[in-house]
Amino acid sequence: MNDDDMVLDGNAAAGALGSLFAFDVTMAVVRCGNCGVSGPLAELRLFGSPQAMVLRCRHCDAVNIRLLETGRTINLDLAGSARIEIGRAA
Amino acid sequence: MVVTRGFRGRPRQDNATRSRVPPGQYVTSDFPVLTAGPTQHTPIEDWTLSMQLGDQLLATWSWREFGMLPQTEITTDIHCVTKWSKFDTRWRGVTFDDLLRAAGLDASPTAFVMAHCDGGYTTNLPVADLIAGKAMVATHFDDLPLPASHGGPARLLVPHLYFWKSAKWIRGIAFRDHDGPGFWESLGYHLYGDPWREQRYDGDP
Amino acid sequence: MPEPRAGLPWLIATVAELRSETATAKTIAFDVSDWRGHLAGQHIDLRLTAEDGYVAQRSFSLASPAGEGTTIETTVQRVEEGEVSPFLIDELRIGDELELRGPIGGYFTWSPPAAKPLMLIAGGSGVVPLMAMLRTRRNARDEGPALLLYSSRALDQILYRAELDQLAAAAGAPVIVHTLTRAAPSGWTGEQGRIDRAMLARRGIAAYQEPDIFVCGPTPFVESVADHLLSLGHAEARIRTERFGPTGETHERR
Repeated sequence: MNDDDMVLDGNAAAGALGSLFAFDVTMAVVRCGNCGVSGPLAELRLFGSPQAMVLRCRHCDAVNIRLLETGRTINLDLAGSARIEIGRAA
Repeated sequence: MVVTRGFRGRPRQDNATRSRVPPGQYVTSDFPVLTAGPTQHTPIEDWTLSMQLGDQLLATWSWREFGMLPQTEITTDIHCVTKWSKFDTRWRGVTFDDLLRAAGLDASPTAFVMAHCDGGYTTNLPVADLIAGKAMVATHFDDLPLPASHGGPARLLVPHLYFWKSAKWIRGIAFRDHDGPGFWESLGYHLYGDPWREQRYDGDP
Repeated sequence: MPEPRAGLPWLIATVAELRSETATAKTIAFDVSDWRGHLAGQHIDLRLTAEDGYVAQRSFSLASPAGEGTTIETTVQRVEEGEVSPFLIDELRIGDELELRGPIGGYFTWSPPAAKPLMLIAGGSGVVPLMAMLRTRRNARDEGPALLLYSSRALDQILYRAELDQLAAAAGAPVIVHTLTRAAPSGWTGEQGRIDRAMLARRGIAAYQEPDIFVCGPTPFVESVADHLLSLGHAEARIRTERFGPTGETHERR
């Protein structure tokens, strides 16, 4: 089994991110700040651990979103995303 | 804390020598692998290691040249910020002291470095934590060439700090006058990362 | 620490039922008194705490259909040398309590009534969320075209086999196509081998019908199937994927 088999996708980040946002994050569309390609957050490649998540663009591997859960804070870094679109509920 | 009846989790050595286990850690005989990005596969013929000060290239080694530098073996414990510690890991590589010597430097030109790696990973370190045998660029684990999944062909090894400082796929050492956060530090991991003071996150004393 | 205004609290779930699906997989039913309902395809996070404070957390897809009260189900496949699945399969007893968070995920969900034909492609335990979709479709008496293409290693590894046979026989039935990648029993009339482009072309719903497609399973399986689907003309926007794998950092035996 090669180590890339361990990679999950943004669906797995939904629990941790869901504790921060009122909207459903897996439906959010993320535009990569590096290559400009847009896609669902659910399709980003997930690295790291449940406490320290790194979500990368599927096309260019650039970091789009990072999340760290410490004992005191939840740290969110969206700097790698050019834009995040959240659809309003119908 | 809601305890789950009957749950033990991954085998943890309960009878480990207490004094060898930093606070909040569990001991494992497995090798925990934490990665921030896809495994890097750098061909040996393309691999170089460089030392830089600003724009100035101080030294650079090809894989062949690097292999001719003095080799050192160490056995040491490692501590991952995910709470896993592994005892008695065996490594071989070139110490930071020998790299400075090979670069023709009597001493480090600055007090801090940033390690730069394939894939874009970075981590910051005080030079004081790299010299006097405290750190090496490791190429072998357990007598075997370091696999890519563990940071091969070469990784930084700084075992007295949390293992995220032992940067995988190291390619460059940039000397700096000021300490500044690398990849994990900028997200909120501790700037220094001493496992014995449990300095996991920014703001931990 | 202030309570979050929005989002996902940890709830207490009580084990209500345990049901072996195969020799290596078990369905666990939980009673969750604060459960607010879920959509087919969503998952839960389970958090397990040992007496010394050690915590492990894993995600599991819901197998139970949408909208059936405060009892939910997931099916757990044993992961060799895993930390959590052997505990859930071997240790858990009726009445035990666990911490659970959910439902999670809106991207990988399907609800009736179906606007388009539904194509579900499962690799191994990736069938779990797709089964929630088929059960939801059955409960809603939805009779639109639907297909499950389900890859398993061997006959005795197929999850929900009897229920899938029943579903296939009922009115408005989905087409169920099994493929076995290792040993197939003599007289096997299903497909054999991995799901490749040829099998998708042969057995899948054609691209011109614009099916809604859900692919779930191990990462290499999902990526390979998604590539084949694109090459067969299915629009990227119609393909939803969920990749399974061990969560968190990996632990290699050394």
